[in-house]
Amino acid sequence: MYIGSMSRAVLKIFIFSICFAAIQAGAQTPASIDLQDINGGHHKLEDYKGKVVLLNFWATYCVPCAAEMPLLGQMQKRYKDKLVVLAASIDEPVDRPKLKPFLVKHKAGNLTLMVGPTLDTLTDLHLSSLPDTMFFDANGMLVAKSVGALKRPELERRLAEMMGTPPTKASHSRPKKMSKTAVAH
Amino acid sequence: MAAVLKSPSRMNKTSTFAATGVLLVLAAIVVIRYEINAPARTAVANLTAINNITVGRTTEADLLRRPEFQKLERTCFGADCLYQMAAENSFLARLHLAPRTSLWTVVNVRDGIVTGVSVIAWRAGTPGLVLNQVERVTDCDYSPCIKDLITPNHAKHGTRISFNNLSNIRNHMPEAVNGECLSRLHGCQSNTELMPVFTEIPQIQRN
Repeated sequence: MYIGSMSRAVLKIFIFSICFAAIQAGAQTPASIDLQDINGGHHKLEDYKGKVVLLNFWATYCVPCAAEMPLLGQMQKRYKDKLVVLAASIDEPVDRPKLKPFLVKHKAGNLTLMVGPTLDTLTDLHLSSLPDTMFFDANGMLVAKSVGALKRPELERRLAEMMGTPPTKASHSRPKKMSKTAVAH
Repeated sequence: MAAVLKSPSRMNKTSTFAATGVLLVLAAIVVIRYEINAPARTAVANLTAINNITVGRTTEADLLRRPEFQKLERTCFGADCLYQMAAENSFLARLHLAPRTSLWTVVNVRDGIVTGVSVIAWRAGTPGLVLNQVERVTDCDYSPCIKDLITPNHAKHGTRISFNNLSNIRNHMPEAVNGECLSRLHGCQSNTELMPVFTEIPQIQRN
């Protein structure tokens, strides 16, 4: 009797572990994202394998999106070969000629501009507001998501963690001073 | 005798301190008033600068005859250029006396002709508002028309009023958008307060 109830408990734990492992495995599946560049070429996240990818959704009419752009531009400059910042605009096709000058204006001309993310992509990523930023590791796994404007210390810390490098000296300075640097770069 | 002589100088000192104090308070009031009112003045000036522009007809040369545009940085990529002006209630927002509110005016130019004029209004925590002059409204069958900006997965992140280059709104930009919101305690609470032009667009023209 005792052995029977014990084996049931073990079985329950075993089933629970399998379910939990399956959920974990689901969360660890590399995200499938279909983006287009400004010339209509299709891009998938796998194209950037080996690099940390920061996927930032924005629009030309989103003021906080523009406010964080100099910061993203600066991070792209800092982590040149290790990081790809994909600036995915959800503006309408008619607004496409405005996009690149807008990025340049907001000190983010070095970001990789993408347009027209597909419905599947947006649904999968639960895009709910702008700006919205997703962090993918070098294997394409979604490791973090940030809704709303990015904050410099958090972004620097997260990127440093993902790159496996200690935060730079600049990340310890006061945010006000840093934002001036961001504008000046 | 000495005590009698001291008291007028003490009185002088006291009155000098008092006068300095009053002057400092007055100066502080002037500075604070300036800081509060400056964003609204800038916003109104920016809106006036983009008044009477006709997309598809106004040339960049016409634009550069306006003093405000002569001072602006021209940002280009290929043939597409933009001029942008901004105003924000930073002082009130920092003191938590009003939600952060920004008003941007953007003029797009291509091959020497104005291709778009936009006013973007944003209050912290609310979807953005866009007032957009285009050559032809493609969003809907009417001009002007109001459209919610939604992501393909149905999250609303803004509202846009589009009007074509024949609409009279283009000649009434300072009245269409309420720049005073940037200097108001607690800011403007509704879209119609921030963009009074909302109230002038018939219900039927709202998609």
